Amino acid sequence: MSESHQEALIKKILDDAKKEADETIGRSRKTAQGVLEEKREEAQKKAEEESESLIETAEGQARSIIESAIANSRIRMNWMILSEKEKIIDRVFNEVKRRLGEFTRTNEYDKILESLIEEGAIAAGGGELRVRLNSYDYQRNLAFDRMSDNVEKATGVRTMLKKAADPANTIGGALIKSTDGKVAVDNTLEALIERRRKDLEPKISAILFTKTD
Amino acid sequence: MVDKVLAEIRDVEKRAEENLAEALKQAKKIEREASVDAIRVYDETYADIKKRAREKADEIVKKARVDAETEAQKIIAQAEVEVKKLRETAEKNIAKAAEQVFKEIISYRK
Repeated sequence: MSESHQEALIKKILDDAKKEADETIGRSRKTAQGVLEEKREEAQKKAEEESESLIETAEGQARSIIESAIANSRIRMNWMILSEKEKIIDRVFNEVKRRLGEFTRTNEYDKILESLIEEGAIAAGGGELRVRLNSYDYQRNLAFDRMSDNVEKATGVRTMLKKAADPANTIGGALIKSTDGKVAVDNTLEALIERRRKDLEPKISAILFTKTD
Repeated sequence: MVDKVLAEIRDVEKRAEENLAEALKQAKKIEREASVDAIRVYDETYADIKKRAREKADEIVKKARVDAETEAQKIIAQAEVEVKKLRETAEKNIAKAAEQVFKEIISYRK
């Protein structure tokens, strides 16, 4: 073997070895890159699936926040309107009481007061009864004997109506109480209004809240 | 002479084998490091996407709170207008309603 052949052979051995070494390292790098890509994609897929669910939950929560705020505001709106209506209706009843107060200063009222006393006494079942009136009505000259007779006729029970010693704090009407205190009938004008309030409120609402112009 | 040449060739072959062994060692090291890196890449990728999703979710909820407040204010403003209208309509009719009730109570007793 000539020297040049020998050198060529050595060079080939070394070149082949280098080529194989480079290829081995190249394959490894490629494999490593593949592993990294695979893991990146795996993580991306898992995270995106979870993220989608996270966003869906957040969107649901968002819808719920808005719907709840709207519902609460509508409840508050209805409450504001209802509350305002109640205030205005109260003003009407206060005005009615004021007018009734004025009315109790007229002669026309005497007849009504007597009918309230009689009706209350009949409801109490007759007997010995005390009638409480306001301090103004206390001064009126009411026909207690005639009223007692009328109650007696209606109830069949011997009846004695008398003014109570202490006046009542009322705009008008009467409080009727048996002398033993077992029976009491409130026939004041305030009580009368309260008893009729539920029937009157829809009528008042219709007048108040219907636009006329 | 021949022996010398053969010895030299064997020597070169040995070096070549050593080079290959070294390359294999390096290749294994690359793959081993890639396994470790893969876990890090997985964790980082996962954490990054989840972080962005959480931020987006927080933003959605935050925006909803602002929108909800806006909607609520609109409704309350509308309620205030309704109440004002109601008050104005009622104001004109209070005397009429009071008169009606007064008459009903008085006539009820007569």
